[in-house]
Amino acid sequence: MADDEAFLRQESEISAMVTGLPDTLSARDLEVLRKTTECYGILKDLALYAEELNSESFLPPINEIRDAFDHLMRMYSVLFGLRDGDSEYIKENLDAVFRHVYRASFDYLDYIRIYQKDYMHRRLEGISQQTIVNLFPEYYREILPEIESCLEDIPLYKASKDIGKPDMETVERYHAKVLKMRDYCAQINKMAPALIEAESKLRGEAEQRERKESGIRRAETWKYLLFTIIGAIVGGIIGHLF
Amino acid sequence: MRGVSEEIWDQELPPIRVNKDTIKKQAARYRMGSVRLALGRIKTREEFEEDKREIIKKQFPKNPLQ
Repeated sequence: MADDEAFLRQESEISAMVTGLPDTLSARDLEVLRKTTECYGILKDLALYAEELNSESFLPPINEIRDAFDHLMRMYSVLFGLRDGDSEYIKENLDAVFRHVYRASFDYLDYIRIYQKDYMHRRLEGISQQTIVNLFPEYYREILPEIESCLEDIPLYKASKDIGKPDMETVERYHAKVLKMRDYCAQINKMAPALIEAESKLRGEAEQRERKESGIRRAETWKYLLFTIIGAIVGGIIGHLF
Repeated sequence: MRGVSEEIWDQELPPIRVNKDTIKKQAARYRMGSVRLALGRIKTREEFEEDKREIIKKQFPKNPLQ
């Protein structure tokens, strides 16, 4: 449709209201629209990362985005004179657009946080504490405290999501956290081959030590058994002689 | 007003519902758009909440020096 310039020329009977959006919308409405656009930028970044993280589409934020688009179109339907509506109707719908985009962002934040934890857990599964301490000290120094703090924030996210007065600062803060965790995921991924190799070496050494100790224990047992038998025989002979 | 009645504008859209089995079964015949959707690679809220409960329970290796 966008390639067909003739189509655009045919539809020239647009409402006088849309000749200049800044003049059409109130300063407050423009601010809501600006915040929504800002929030959508973050939401899009989160959506792309969420799909990359888990190779699947998360349905709840898609529903929210669809609803946001619906409210945006309701606003434009008035601006383009396709239906009746006043400034209050425009304001209500613009607020609804922001709320849906905001909620979708929190849905993605919650989703990403959980699967980031799962990703890190899977990468570190089977790696002993000793190997991590030896090869990857940043894990205990920086990464684990950060992961735990992020996980504790989940209930906070949910509470924030439901508040009546949403704010962009919260979204920006949590978005920054997600990016930080993304870096940690990359660090863990980079370290994983070295950790697995060191862990298998450590286990090999432990098994070898165990085999050696078990051999020594077996030899000791035979030695005591032999001494006991010899002692019993010698005791028997001495007893028989005297 | 062109095309649709005024009431249509204010009607709420029903939430998207999916039946993964049907999607996968019909994918070859009717697939349009997202490959992930066609393959049934969709996470619903219920499935996510279930995963979330399991993942939260998982423990990371703790610092042995603490």
